[in-house]
Amino acid sequence: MEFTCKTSKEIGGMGHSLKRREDDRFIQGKGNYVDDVKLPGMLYMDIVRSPYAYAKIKSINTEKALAIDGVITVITGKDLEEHNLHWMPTFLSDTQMVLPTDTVMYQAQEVACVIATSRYIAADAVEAVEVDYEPMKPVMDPHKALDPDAPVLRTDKEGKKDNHIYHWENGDREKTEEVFKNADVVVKEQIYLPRIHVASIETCGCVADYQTATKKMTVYMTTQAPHAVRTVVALVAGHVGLSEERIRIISPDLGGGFGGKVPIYPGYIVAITATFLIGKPVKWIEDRTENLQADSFARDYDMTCELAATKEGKIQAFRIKTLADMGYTDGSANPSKYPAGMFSICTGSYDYSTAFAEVDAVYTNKPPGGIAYRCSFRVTEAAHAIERMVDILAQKIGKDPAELRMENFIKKDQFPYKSALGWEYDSGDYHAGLEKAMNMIGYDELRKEQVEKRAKGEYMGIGICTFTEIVGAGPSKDFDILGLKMFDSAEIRVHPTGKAIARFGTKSQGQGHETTYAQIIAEELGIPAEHITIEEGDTDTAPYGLGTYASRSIATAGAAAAIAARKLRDKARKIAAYLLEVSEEDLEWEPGKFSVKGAPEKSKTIQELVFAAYTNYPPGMEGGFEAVHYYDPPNLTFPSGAYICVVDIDGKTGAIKVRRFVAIDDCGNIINPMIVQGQIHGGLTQGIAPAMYEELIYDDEGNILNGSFMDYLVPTAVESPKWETDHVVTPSPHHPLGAKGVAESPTVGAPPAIVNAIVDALSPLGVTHVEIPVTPYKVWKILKEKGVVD
Amino acid sequence: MIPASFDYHRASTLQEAFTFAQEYGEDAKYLAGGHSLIPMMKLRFSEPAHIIDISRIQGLKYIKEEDGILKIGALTTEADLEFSDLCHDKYPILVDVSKLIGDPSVRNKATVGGNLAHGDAANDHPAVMLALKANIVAEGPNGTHNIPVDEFFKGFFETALEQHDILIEIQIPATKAGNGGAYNKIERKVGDYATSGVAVNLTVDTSDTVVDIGIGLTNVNPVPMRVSRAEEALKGNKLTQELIEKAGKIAGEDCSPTADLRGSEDYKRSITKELTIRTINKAWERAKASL
Amino acid sequence: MKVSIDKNFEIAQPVSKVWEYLLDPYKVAECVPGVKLTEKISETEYKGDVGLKLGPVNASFNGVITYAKVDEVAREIHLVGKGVDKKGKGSVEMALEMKLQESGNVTMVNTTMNVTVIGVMAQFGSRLISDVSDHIFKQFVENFQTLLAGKEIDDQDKQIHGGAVAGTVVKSITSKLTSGVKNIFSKKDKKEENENE
Repeated sequence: MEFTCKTSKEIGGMGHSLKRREDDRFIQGKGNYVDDVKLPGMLYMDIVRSPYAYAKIKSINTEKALAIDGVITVITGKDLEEHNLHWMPTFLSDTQMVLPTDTVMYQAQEVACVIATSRYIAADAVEAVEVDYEPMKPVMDPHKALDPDAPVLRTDKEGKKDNHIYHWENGDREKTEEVFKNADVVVKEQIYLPRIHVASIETCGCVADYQTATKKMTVYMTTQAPHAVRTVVALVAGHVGLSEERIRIISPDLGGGFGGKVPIYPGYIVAITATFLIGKPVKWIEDRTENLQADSFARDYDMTCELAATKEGKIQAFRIKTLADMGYTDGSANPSKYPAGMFSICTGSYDYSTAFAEVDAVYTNKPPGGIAYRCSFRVTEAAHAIERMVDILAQKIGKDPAELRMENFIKKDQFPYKSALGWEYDSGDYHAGLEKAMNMIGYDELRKEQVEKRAKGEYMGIGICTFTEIVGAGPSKDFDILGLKMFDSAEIRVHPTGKAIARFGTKSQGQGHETTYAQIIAEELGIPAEHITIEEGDTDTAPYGLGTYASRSIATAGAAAAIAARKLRDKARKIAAYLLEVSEEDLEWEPGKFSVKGAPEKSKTIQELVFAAYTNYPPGMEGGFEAVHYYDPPNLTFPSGAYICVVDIDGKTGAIKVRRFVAIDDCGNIINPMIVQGQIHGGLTQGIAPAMYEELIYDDEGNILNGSFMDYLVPTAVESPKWETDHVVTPSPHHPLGAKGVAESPTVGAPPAIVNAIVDALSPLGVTHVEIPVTPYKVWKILKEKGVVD
Repeated sequence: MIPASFDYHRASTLQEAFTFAQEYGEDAKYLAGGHSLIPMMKLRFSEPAHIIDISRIQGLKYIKEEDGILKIGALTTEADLEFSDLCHDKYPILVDVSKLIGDPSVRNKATVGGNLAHGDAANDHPAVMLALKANIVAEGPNGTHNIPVDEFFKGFFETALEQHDILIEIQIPATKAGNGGAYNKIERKVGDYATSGVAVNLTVDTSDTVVDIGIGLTNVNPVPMRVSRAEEALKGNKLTQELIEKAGKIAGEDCSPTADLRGSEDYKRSITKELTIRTINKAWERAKASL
Repeated sequence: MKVSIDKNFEIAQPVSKVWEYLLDPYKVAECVPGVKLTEKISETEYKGDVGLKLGPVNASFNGVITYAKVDEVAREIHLVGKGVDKKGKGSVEMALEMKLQESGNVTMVNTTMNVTVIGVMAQFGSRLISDVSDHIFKQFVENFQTLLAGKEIDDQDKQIHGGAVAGTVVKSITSKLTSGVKNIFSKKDKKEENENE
C-alpha cells in the first residue's frame, strides 16, 4: 500500500520509511544494555533458588558460602525482615515475597542472595549455601486449587480460607442466559491458552549504585516503566531513607520487553537493598533459565466459551467463563480497575448486543505473573476465544467462515460502535480488511484446491482471524496503576540553531521510538527528523509517564509529542507574525515554514523562527522554544486485522507446514511503514510461537520441565513462513495523528488464524478444536485416534 | 549458567594432550568444539577440574578419499562437511546430517569427532556412521587402534574409547556406483535433538537388488542403534515399496524410544517407521542416480 | 517428574533367603549402583551417600533409606530411598515395593519402582530420567542376583555403567510385556492418558 506524505523526504515526517536510527549502534554491537554497565568497585549478586515448588524453610546455613574468599555477604528473608523489606506489593495490590522467611511457593523462587566480588565467586557461593527444606505437596492444577481439601497457600493473608483471588464479571448474565435458551444454534468449547513466557533475548537485571556521600540511589534497570518503578521503590523503601528525589532509575537499551519487564522482580529489590547496605554498586543479571523459570508468565486462561446464533448464522450472544491460574500471587501489571485486563473485548468484531464474561482467579504453586505478553492485557485470550468460536459456529452450520464473518461484522457506518460489553470502538472497516486479505491470498481458488486435495486424502486447511484489538491505556477516568493515572508525556526542547531533543515517559524495547517520535515532531514542526534527538528511560531527565506496554506509546506519548509540537508551532506562528509584521491569521503553514497568505515570498522557516525565540522574540513573550505535554487520551484505540493462513498437514507424521500467511492490518494512520512492517513480522512470529511451539510445562511435583531454550521452543527464522502484509487505514477519530498503535495486533491475531487453519485441515476427520500449541505430536495423536495412522 | 572453576590446558599435539590427560586422570576432559561438554559444564552437571583443549591440534581437520576409504579428521567441523564439494558430489548423506545439526554458528564450531565421542544417542552422527559402517580410529598414549562403529557405542555417554584416547579419524568405505545415502530427522524446531532420526546407506545393482544396506537410528534407543533386522530384510532382495514398507515397520518395532516432551513411545515408533520408509526411498533415488 | 516401572523377575533362590537379604540394608545398598550406607539412624532408617556418574555427568546426594513397610506374612517390603542433592539442586526419591512369592525353588519378585525427581535434574534430564531409572533398576536386580548367588559384585557394577544400558537395546523385546514406563509431563497429556487407560 502507498502512503501519502505531507512532508518532504528531507523532513521525514509521517509516512516515510526512515531507517531506524537506533539500528546503527545495535548492528555494530554498540548498544548500551544493563549488562554493559560497569562501575568501579562493582559487586555481583547471584541467587539461591528453591528446587521445590512448595516447602517450608527449616534453616539456611550461610557459613560455608561466607567462608569463600570474595564473598561479601549472603542476604536472606530474615535479613530483609529486619528492615521490613521482605514483602512488596504487586501492581494489582497483591503482595509478593522479596525473599521468603519461612515458605517457598514455587520452583526457582529466590531464597537467598549472594554478593561477591566476582560473578564466578557468586555462583560458587550459591552452591555453598545450605538450605534445609521440608517439601510439601504443591498445588499445581488450578482446577484443584479450589477443592475443599486443597491446602490454603497464602497463609500470610489473615483470614484467607481458600485459594480464590478474585471474581470478575461483565455483562448481563440473565439476559445472556435468556438469549441462549431461545437460540437456534449454540456451540460450546473449552479453550485453554497455556502458560507461556515472553522469552525476550535480554534477560532481566540491574546495576544498583548507592552513593553514601550524596545519598543518591541510581539503578540501571531492565524496565519498561522507569517512572512507575521509581515511585514504587520510594513507596516501598521510603521508610529506610530512600525518598523519591534520591532515586534515579535509568532504563538503557532494552533487548525486548513484551510485558516481561513491567513487573518489579525480587532481584531488583535485593540488589537495591544490598548497595544501600554495603555502599558499593551491585550488579544482578539473570541467566536464561532463571528468566524462564522465575519471571512473569503470560496467559494461562482456561476458557469455557459459548456462542448463540440463528440457524442462518447470525450471532446473538457470547458467554465465557474463565479460570485463571495466577501462580502464588497476582503479579499482573494491569490497570487497577481491570483485574482481567481488557478481556471484555472478547465480543470481537461482530455486531450483537448480548454477552457475559467472567473470570475467577486462583493461587497455585507456580511463579507469579499474568502479564500482558505483547498484548493489551488479556486481549490475546479474548480474541482467541471469539475467533475460534466463530469458526466452530461456521463448521456447525456448514457455512464458509469468511461468509459468516462478513454477515456478522460491525459495519463501517456503525462506528463509533458500543460493544455488548461496553467499549466504544472508535473506527474500523472490517469488510474492507477481510476482502483485501481474501483477494491477496486468492481465497476462492484455495477453497477449490482444498476440495481437490481432500478428494485425494490430503490435509490442507485455510484459517481466518478477524480480530479487534483494544490498546493505548488509557483515559484517566478509568485507567491507573497503583493510583497513577495512565497519561503519558513528551517534552520538546528546540535549540537556538533549530535542532532539538525530545524526551518521553515511555521506553522503547525495540519499537523504534527514536525514529518514529522524531518523525511525529518532524511532521508537526517541519524540523527534519534527523535533527531531533529522542531520549527515554532516565527518570532524572524525562517527563513522568507510565512507560511502554499495551501498544500505548503512540496512542499516548506519540499524541503528547504531536500536541507539544503544535504548542511550539503556535508559538512559532506568533514569532512569525511579529517578524513578518502581519497578523497570525494572515499566515499559512506548510511543513517547515510560515508564509504570508497571498505573498509566499514573505516567509520564515521554522529554523529562523526558533532562532528568533532565543534572539528576537516579541515583547512580553517568554524566551526559549520548549514545550511539554501530558496526554490523557479521551478513549482507547481499536486497531483491527484480517489474517488468513494456509496450512498443509502431513497425514503420516502430523507435521504442519504454514504454506502462506496474509496479514491485513488497520492500525490507523501510519508513522513509519517500514517499522510497522517490522513490528508485524515480529509479532506474527510471536503469534506462531504459542500457536505451534511454546508452553511452560509443569508436572505434579511442581517441576518446570522446559525451563531452558533446549525445551522451551522459541521459533526462529527457519520456522517462520514468509509473511505477506498490507493495510487498510481507518484513522482513529480521537487521536491527534489518527494513529492507533500496531505492535500487538499480530501477536493477538496470528494464533487463532493458524489454529483455525489446522482445524479446517482436520475437519474432514470430525475435528472441531485443537488446543495450542498445536504440535506435530498432537496432530499425530488425532490422526491415530481417527485411524489415519497406526 | 556459570561453570565451576577449572584449569584450562591447550594441547598443540596429540602427544601433549595425552601427557595432560595422564597427569590429570579422571579429573580431566578433552574439549574439541565444546557444543556438548560446555552446556553441561554451565549447568554444573559436569565439573571437570581440567579441560584439555584439543581443538588446535594440527592435522586433524580434513575430508579426503584415500585407498578406497573416505577419511574424515576428527576436528572437521559440521560446516566443513556441509560445504565440502566431495561430500556434495559423493556423500550427500554427510551434507544431510550436517545441515540438520544446530544452527550455522553451532556448525562452525562443533566437530564430527566430538559428536561421536560424546556417546549420546541423541546426536546425529552416530546413526549416520552406523549406516555407513564406519571405522573409528582412536589414538592413545599406547598408539592407535581401530574400533568398528558397531562396537563403539556402549551406553549413555559411554564409548569404547579408553580413558586417555582421542578419536582422531573416521573411516568410511568409499562410495561406488549404485551407492546412495540419506539422513533425515524430525525435530520440534531447528537445533533440537531429533524426535527421531534415520540414516540409510544403500547400494543397489542395475536390477534394483540391494547389494549392501546400513540403517541407523537417532534418539529412539538408549544407545545409537542399527536396525539389523530391517537390513536383513532388504539385503539381497529387489527393492519394492512393499519391502521398504516392511523395513520401516521393523524399524518402528525394533527401536526402543522413551516418552519425553517430544512425544509418546508410540508416536516415536510411528514416525520412525515413516521416516525410515522416506529415507530409504531418498537413498534409493540417489543410488539409482549414481549408476 | 515421576517415573513408574513395574517389573517381575525370578531369582533362583528360596524365598526365605531372598527375604533375609532384603531385610539387610547393607546388602540392599550394595546392590544399588552408587549407594553407600554411612550411618544407622534407627532400626528402619539409614543414612548414606549416593553418587551418580553418567559419562561427564556427576551428581552426589545425601541419602536416607527407610523400610517403610515390612510384612513378613505377606512377604511384602517397601523401601524408600531419598536423596537430597549436596549442592541444593533438588532431590530424588525412589520408592521400591517388592512382593515375593515362592514357586518351587524359585522366588518370583513382583516389583514396582516409583522414582520422583525434583529440581534441576527434572528440568534438564527429562529425556534421560526414565531410561536411567530403568537401568539402575536392572543393575540392582543383576547385582542382587549375584550377591544371592554368593558371588562378589565387581566394582564396575557398583556404578551405573554402559553395559547395563547397552543391555537394554533389546528392551522392546524382553521386557515390554512386563514393564510399562510411563512419563507424565503435562496436565493435558495426563488427562488424555487417563482417558486412554
